[in-house]
Amino acid sequence: MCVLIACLVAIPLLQIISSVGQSSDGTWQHLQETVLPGYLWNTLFLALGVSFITTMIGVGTAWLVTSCQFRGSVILQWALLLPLAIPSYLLAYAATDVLQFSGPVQTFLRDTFDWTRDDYWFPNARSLSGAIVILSVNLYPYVYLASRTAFLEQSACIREMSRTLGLGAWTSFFRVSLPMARPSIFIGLSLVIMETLSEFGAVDYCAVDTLATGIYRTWTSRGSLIAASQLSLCLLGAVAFLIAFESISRASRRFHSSDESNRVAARIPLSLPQAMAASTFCWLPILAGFVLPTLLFTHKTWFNGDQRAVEMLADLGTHSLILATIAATLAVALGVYVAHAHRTHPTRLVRASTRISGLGYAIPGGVIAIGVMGAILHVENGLNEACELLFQWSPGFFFSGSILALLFAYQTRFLAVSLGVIQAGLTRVSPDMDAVSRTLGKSGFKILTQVHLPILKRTLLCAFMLVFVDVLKELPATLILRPFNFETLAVRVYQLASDERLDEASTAALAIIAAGIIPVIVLSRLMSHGSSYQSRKQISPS
Amino acid sequence: MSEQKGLEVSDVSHQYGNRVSVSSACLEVEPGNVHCLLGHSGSGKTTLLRIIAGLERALTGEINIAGKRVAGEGIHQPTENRAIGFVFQNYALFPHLSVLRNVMFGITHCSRKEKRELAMNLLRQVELSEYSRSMPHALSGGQQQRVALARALARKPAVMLLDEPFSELDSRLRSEVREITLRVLRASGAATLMVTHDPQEALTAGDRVSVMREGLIEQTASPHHLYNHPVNEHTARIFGVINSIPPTSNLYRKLSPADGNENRLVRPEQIHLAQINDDRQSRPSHGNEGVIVQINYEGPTVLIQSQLASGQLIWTREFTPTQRHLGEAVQLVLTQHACSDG
Repeated sequence: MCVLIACLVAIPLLQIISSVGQSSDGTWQHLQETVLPGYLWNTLFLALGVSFITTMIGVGTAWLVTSCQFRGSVILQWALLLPLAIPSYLLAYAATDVLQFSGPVQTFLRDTFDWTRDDYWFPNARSLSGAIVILSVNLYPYVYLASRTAFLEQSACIREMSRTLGLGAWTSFFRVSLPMARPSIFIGLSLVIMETLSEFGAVDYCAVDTLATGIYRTWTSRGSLIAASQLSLCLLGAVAFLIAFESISRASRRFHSSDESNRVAARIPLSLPQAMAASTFCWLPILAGFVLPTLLFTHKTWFNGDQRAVEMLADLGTHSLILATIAATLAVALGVYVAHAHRTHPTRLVRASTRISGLGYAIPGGVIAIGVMGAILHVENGLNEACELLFQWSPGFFFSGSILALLFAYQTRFLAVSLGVIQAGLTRVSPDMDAVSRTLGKSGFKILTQVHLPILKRTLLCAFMLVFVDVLKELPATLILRPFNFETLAVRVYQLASDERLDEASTAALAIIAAGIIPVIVLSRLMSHGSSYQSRKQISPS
Repeated sequence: MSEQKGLEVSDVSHQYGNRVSVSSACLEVEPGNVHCLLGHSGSGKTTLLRIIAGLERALTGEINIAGKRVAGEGIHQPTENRAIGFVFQNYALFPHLSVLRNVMFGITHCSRKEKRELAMNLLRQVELSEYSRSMPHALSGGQQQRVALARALARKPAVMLLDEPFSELDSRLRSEVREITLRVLRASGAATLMVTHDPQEALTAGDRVSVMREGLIEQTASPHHLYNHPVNEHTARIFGVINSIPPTSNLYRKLSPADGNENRLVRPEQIHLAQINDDRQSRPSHGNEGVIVQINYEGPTVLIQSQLASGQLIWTREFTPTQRHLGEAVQLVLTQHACSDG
């Protein structure tokens, strides 16, 4: 069963890999000669720019709120996660709306200083640099989360020891804390790069041609599934490199992990000017990444929202909710099955299957959609031909345009999320629990239902919520695979924004943001739960 | 296969990859008896315990529990089908269940009311009945250990396996919890095998003790025999400081029997120190005379190291308070016990 799940997840990938060497009727050649170099350069610069800025913001804020004491630092610990609640395409819509020529900022400058168009220069949000800043402000929480966890895990003794060896607070940060946290930072950074590579909505709106937008355009405009698959292969190459990089980082992180019983180091009190600088540095990305866009969409909804708001929320909301609920339930059920098999029967085959099942999240939604579409069409064509031959009747393309295809794509992409969360939860259940259950007469399935699942109740809820909201926000796969005339909140926002009807899009956008806050709460609760678990462990053996 | 044996392990071996972890282990535990498995970390004692529980598979050998073959040629009964109870080092209490539900977890084939009564009875035995509704994290380490014990006993196992059950407790709690545990275990009638790395604990708790080293059981005997007649220096040293007396030493000749070519092992308390007249204090002249070079306070006793004229260092033990001081000339005299027992 575990192997079957892995095979299903691998089908879209294999479909894409099988496109190597296939003829795309000259489309691939045309792409190579015209747009492909541009796609590659833009993707590279975008990834580099976003990596640099997210590292600066993520590591800097994580260290400040973990190691320094200043007013508001406790609120900042969870508030810094808030930009995760907003899909990057919504941030792009908000940023371009505010910063464009007719937007409030430029209008205010012109009115205040009596400038005309030629009197001043203003950065263009719809550019590569604009996309870099937008994605950085949106994605830095991944680096923040990873760095903060690493800083929290660092032993107080090691930091205090470095102080006794004559290092000041800042030198100690650069020479001890930062090198120790480096593997964790790399893990966060590789997630950022994967998200950047797969980003479609924001870069499309910023008019930056990357591999991700190229795949979608090759499929929708040129109708070439093979050329789109071949383009996806370029992206897969980069993702494979990142996965290797991430697994090396994870392996080296083991050497840096510290004993759970380590106490937390005392925080460094900051002077007033230092505290003000630290507060500004931490609040700016929250303002830009969450507060301002939320205020903007609220304002637009209030004054010029979608006239069909009630009708729309009933229809689109129901579509989104049903899709997200089914996909999240399936992902959690499959995740539990794979994680349990991996724990109880860790044979080489099961371990490999688990690894394959977890690959999907690294692969862009558009790539998965193309893979799923190609695989399904293969099966349907074969089935139609066989039925035609045997019964002179063909069932048609019943699967490719259905919700099932979409659910299949969601499982391929998001099984990794539920699997990761459930596996992390299971690592906190001591193997002795399994052993003691067996000595008390329970075996495989009973251990799962009577021990693992009750202990993991919160973890399962977390996994469900994370997949639920990921599906709610997902855009490229939904755009490609949705049944005809089937819209979700994300699709509606994309379509209205593409038509420059941002006022109307704001209502659905706000609904997505409201749903997006759920995983942020879940994440911050998980972080605080983790620390309370540690302190409980410290107390118990006394 | 005798019916009265609780646990019989014969010729059991195990390997982790190429590393031998247990080699031809043999032991027997009678019902109602406590057998301690003593050894340093990595000696294979926990692996042997896990093999008996069925959590690891033996390469060779046989295991019988209450006269029933559970492991052997072509046989490997799963853990859940063996009549055993297991107390883990970290207790492994289910955090989502109350104390009572933890104890009830393994009880089957009876009504809920009977399960509850049985569990409450066990909790009374381990003096925790008032904590039946508490969650495990609200208990102290000693209380958690006793819940784990009650839970393991609830299935009325023929064999109880305990893996370092007191190692997480501080010394004050340890003796108190150990006393309750041993009382309950002996009353249960189960054959108990307890792993420990603490020699004092093994001597106090065990009816018999096996010493393990690098996967091998070096000696199995009663605590008294093991302490006084260790088969080799390793087994002797596991119980503390020991003097290795060479055949050339004057002390050697006083030991019985006094012939042989190998060093003889003598415990510090088998030698006592006698006063020497003042005129010879600064310079030892006889083979059995020496000067005190080190004094280690142990609480109720003092460990004293003297250097003989030959340069050999000899440990002796005396009760506190002692008037001994560094540099004092002393004569080393073997006790009657050492002379007759060797």
